Amino acid sequence: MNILNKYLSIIILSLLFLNTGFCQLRQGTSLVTLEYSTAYNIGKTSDFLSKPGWAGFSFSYRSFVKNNVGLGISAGWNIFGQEDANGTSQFMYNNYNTTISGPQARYINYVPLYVNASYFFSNSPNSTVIPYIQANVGTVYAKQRLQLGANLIDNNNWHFAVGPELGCIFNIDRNSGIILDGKYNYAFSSGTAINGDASNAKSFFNINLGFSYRR
Amino acid sequence: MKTKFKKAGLFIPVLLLVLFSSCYYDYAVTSDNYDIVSSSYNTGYNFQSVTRYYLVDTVNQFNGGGSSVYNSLIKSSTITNLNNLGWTKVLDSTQADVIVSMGTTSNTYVYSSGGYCYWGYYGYTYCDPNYYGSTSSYTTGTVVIIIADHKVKTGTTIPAQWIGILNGVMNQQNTATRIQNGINKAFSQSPYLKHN
Repeated sequence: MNILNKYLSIIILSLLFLNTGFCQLRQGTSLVTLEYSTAYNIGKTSDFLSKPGWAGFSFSYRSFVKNNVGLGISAGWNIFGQEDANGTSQFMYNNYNTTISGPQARYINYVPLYVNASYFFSNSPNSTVIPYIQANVGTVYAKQRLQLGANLIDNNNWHFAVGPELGCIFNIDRNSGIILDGKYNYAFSSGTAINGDASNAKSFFNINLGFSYRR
Repeated sequence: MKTKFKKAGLFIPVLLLVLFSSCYYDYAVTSDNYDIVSSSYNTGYNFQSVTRYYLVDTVNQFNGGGSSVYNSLIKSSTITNLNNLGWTKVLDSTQADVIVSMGTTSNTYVYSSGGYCYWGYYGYTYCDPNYYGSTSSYTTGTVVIIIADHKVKTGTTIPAQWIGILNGVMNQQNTATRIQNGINKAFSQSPYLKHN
């Protein structure tokens, strides 16, 4: 059995056990998560770079101010890269339409930094699975690079951003669990678009999987 | 004290994220793969209304850069492409609809890598590439072709209606072939110039 199958088996077997511990997220407790994060550009951002970002991580800390209601912070980092030995880029600037052909590479790094408010649906003391919803608001630092032959065009900006999130915690024991979540990120326009478009807004979607610890 | 330390510790991942958010995949450009071709045109200009061009005989060398070795090739390739697109070359500039001019330039880029690094007096790192590191450079060459209509002016300036640009790393193989292929590409990706 290879390593991947081994770890998948551990996760699945853990989820099958009923957790008889008390799982309500009580006021005064805190929840820390650390996840592997994947990202997918959407809309016009996908026109610039469509390949998924497989490298990334996400960290969050939530403090429960009321039972099942958490306030906290989160931070993440996602990396995209796409290379084309004979690509074509199109730009429009001041009524001039430009086509550039040749070896090209495109990169984006996102660093979302959010404050968040979350609600966990856990009223049963025997909850093994705890779904939650979360609202994120904050900023996304976007580092964008277009490489054309031996020439580099960098476009780095801080964006005001929002991100609704939906996820689920699968408890392993009283304190720890597996967390799976999806988050849509919209970074409002900031600075100038690298291709001359009127808007430099960015939108991308995260799918994250990792570990949670509650105390 | 413990609580303050814990709270401060929460910000460490955030700081690390911002500090190290410059990770790009390494684009391993091969040694013969730096050539790019750009074609740019004024979307408000009607290229179908003009057919006769006058070619400026001199290939300008901007900023003293570029090389005159390929001037004849640049001119002949430009003429061939325009003629194939249905344009007519005239010898009198007053009889022409547009003026075609060409130029070359070059730029040298110096970059450093590695080097001995140490913490400076105020806690920041300084790396001296000349001490155990290395400094390298490369030179890019650029060929520019401009089509301008002398009857269309902005103040005292005659703006370009079409610009073709070739850019690549110099001191590599097959320069003449690369220039010719680049000029061909600049015109082939400009279908709005075609008359026949």
